[in-house]
Formats: sequence, structure tokens, C-alpha cells
Amino acid sequence: MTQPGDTHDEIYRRYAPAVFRRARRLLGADADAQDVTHDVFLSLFERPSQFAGRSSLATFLYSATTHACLSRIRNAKNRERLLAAHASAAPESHDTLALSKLLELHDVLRRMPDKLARVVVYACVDQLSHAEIAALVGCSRRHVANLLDKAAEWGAPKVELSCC
Amino acid sequence: MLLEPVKSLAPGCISDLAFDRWRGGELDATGCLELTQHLEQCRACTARRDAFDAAAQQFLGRADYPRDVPRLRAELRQRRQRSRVAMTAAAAAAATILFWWPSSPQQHRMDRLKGGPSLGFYVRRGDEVFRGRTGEQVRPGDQLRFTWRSDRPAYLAILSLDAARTVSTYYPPPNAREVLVPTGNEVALEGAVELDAMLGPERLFAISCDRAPNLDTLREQLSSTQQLSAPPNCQIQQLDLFKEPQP
Repeated sequence: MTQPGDTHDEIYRRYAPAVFRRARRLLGADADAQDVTHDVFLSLFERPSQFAGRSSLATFLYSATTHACLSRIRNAKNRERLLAAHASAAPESHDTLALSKLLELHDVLRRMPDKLARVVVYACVDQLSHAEIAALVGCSRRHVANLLDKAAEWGAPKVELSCC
Repeated sequence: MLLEPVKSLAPGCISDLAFDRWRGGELDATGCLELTQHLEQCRACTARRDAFDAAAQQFLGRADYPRDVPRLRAELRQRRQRSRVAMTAAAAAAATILFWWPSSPQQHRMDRLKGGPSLGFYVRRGDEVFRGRTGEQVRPGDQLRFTWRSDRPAYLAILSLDAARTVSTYYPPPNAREVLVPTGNEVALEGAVELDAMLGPERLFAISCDRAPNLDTLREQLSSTQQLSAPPNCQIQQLDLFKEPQP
């Protein structure tokens, strides 16, 4: 939990790795992920009141990062940059999607309404539970299930329940 | 082409968000205990934790990392500097009063209205016009047009107190000292206000009175105390805005 005395350095050290990790997974390029991380924290430090009153900074940053990443994905030039970046990139880590799958996902997300796109990111990329997604998006768990069904009609991956 | 299905996490396993909240120190003692107990039993989650920790160490170990926060602070300072320069270069008044109204006729219904008098406003941003509400996030350059709802005529003034503690008069317009606003459900007030570059919270005070209030006294009170107490036979309604920078 953030305390009133927490400095920018402390907040950044604790949360920036997770912001970068998610942005990297969703955007597929270090430079883009770094830009998103910078923008998300710039916005937070410039307007801390947008977070005031909320209980979880991690949850707030999930929402802000997703919003920033989707904005980039909707930028047509990003696709060209991603292709160019992957042409000379190091082999993918286990935490990244294959380029072809990532570009397909971007195409799907780009076409979708924003709320659907966010739910798809949380379910398919972050693998969050319906309860967590409902808290992030501000709706009921049932509505999350409905949104995922709708998202599948747009070409989003179906989410299959796993068992141990 | 449909993307391949994605498997959800196994029941009871730890989500990425839960891991991030844990590393952020957000879980209470019970949450931490449950999480660590699960890690003792679940190889998959332990492997994910180790991967996240390794990725975090890689991020924090970058040669550039020590410059990240100073760079953020430098950009924050530049933005605030640009806002201050823009403000001093503007007209002496903290806001420029313009006159426009894209559409929406005045309504002068004489029905009995429920509730007390009420201030509303519309925001014009480029070609977009939308109804605002308290807590609205606005931007420098946005134009506000106010509406008034009341079941009896009142002398109305709208003052603003911004983050720099500058008081501005948003209504009545500069060419009018006192304006008696008629009754109505959503009476459009004359003139519109263009918001200046001062970022941060801004509080609007709508003062409605049976007789014309002394605006100079109200401005002085607001400027010196950052608060307003209602003069006799007056009511005050507050609306809060938050001015954010242009994206």
C-alpha cells in the first residue's frame, strides 16, 4: 500500500517493473514498453489526485498501462515499427508472444470497442480472473463473461478454464 | 482468422495482478500468508514468481535505470514551467471570456422545479460539445458555457478559484455588473469562458441572491481565505473541475 511519505523513487522502484513487463508483453518491443512506462508514471506523478481514494496502486496502474498500450496499438505506424524492431531483435523470452500471434492480437484489439479490448487484454494476456477483471473494468463478473463471449465474435481468443 | 484459445490460470493459482500487488506491499497479512503458502505447494506459480522477479531485476539493473525518475521529474518541471509562461503571456484576466453557443435554445418553463437552484455547464473542446459535471476533467483551451436552473429569479455570479489561488469571475460577463437570471429548467447564461493554462484543481462557486451581491467583496474573501460564506439571502453551490494537460 502506498504511504503518504513514499517518494517517486520508491513508487517507481516498486511498480515500474510490472508496468514495463505488461507493456512489453502487449506491445512486443522494449522501446515502446519503455515509452509507455515513462508516460504512465509521468501522468501519475503529475496528477496524483487521479489515484487518490483508490485502494490499490497496482490496480490503477494496470488500467493506465492497458489504456496507454491500446492507444499505441491503434496507431497504425506502431505495426510497422514492431515489424522493424523484431527483424533485428533477440530471441523471444517465454514471456512474450510470437510476433505473428501478437500482430493478430493487435489487429483484433484495434478493431474492437475500447471496453471489449480491455477485457480481452486482462483475460487473454494477463489471465486475470473474472472477479479481477470486473474490479478493473467496473462491472459484474457476469458482465465480464458476456463481454468475453462478445469479444470472441470479434476474433478474440476464447478463454478456456484450466484445472489442476 | 481466430486466435487460439487461451487457458485461464488453474483455480487457486496466483494471478499476475496478485503477484504485483504482493510485490507492491498491498496485501494484508492474511493475503501474504495465503500467497506464500500456495507458493510452497505450486511449482507453476513458483516458476512464474521467479520469472517475474528475474524480469524485475533485469529492469532495475539497466544502465539507464538511475536516470528514469530524474527524467520524469525534469519533464514534470518543464510542463509546469510551460504552463506558467503561457499564463503570464495571456490577458490580465485569468480567463478569456468569449461568446458562442453552438445550439440549444434557452428554456423558460414556469413549471415547479424539484430541488434547489442548480448550476450546470457544457464543455466545448474543438468540435465536440458535452455536458460537464462536478469532478470533470477539463483542459486548457476548453470553453465552458453555464446553465442555471431555478424556480425563482436570482442575481447570479460565478467565481472560480484555481490551483494558483487566482480568483476569476466567470459570470456575469465583463460588460455587466449584475444580472438577474430568470426562472427556468436550464437557462443558458450569456457568454462562455475559455480555460487558461493553469493546471490542477479548480473550484467554481455559484452565488445566487435575492439582491445583487457585492462581487468585489466576494472576490476579496475568496482570494484571501480560499472559501466563501454565503451573504444574507444568498446561496452558494460549488462545482469542482480538474484541469489536465493536453494529451
